Amino acid sequence: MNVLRETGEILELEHVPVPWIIGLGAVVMVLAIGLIRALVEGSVEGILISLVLLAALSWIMLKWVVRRLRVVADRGADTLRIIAQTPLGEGSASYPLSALLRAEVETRHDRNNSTPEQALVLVMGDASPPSRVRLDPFRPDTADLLQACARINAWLGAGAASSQGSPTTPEESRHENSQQH
Amino acid sequence: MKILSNTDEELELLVELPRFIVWFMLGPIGAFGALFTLALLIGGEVLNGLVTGAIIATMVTVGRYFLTQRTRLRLDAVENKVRMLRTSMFDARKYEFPLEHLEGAEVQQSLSRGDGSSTRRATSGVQLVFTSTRPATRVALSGWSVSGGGAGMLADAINDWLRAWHERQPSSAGVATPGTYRQ
Repeated sequence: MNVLRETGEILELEHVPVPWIIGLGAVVMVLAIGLIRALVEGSVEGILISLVLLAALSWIMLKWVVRRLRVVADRGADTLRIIAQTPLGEGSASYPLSALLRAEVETRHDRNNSTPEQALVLVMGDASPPSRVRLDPFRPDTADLLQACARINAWLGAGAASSQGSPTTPEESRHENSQQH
Repeated sequence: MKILSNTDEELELLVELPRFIVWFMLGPIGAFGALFTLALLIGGEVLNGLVTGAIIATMVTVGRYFLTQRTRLRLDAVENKVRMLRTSMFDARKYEFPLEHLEGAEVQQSLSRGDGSSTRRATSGVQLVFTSTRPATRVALSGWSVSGGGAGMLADAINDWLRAWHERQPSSAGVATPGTYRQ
């Protein structure tokens, strides 16, 4: 996940699976070239096979791969927005930023083949026990997740420290806040 | 895969496929593809030539993108940082983590059955183990894995350097190294 913007007020991260777009995009390109050739030659069988493969792969790419996931934390508006944009549409979820305790990298295992899969999880303190919002970027690099997790926690900690004057971890700061109240 | 620098202050590694392997894998495809395309064009089959040329060019470009990705890893004892730079044909990404979060390096092996034979060939890749999460998070240094002892050599170098770094720390007692039992 790349950091698009980081100020005292706003932190914005985004994830775009570039290697997958390049890899699958090349396959789509080869299929498109095959389709053009079949069209020029007038081969009905070639046109049908190319069209079916091209449609299936394009739909998979547009729905899951060409997907831009953004996390926008705005301290002024007290909002945490998670926005997923694909060429087919946009979905978003909004949470109060004050409820965000910390970010974590969570490892879970695939149900079919037990492959470990890492994801970025936002731990929200709006319920007891805290709820966990699992972000679902397409095939993220684990180093990206660790970096994003560290940036979010540092940004939360910096905000809490500037308001309290005591630099601690984000969760400790919020715990201190709750004790003061 | 090579060690660029190994001192008390820093360990610097470069993880990339050797150039001759990249040429060995992509060169024949590019060369024969170009000759075949040229032959088609000279023979008057313009459409076939263009289609073949475009497909070969796409394959070589994408292959080059994936095969020339490299990772430069630097363990810095002066600033207590793990710095990682991943570069490819199109972008470069920098990562920075606290050195104390790095537990060590592991080798991940996968077995593949090559050429339909019954013998299995092991390929290896290096992973860094970060203990800032529960369970520890493993970060692969490269997207590909190779046969031979290169990955093991790099993992050993990282673990040896980290062990020496821990021993130099004032409160080094009780620090476990990868593979040791921690009570």
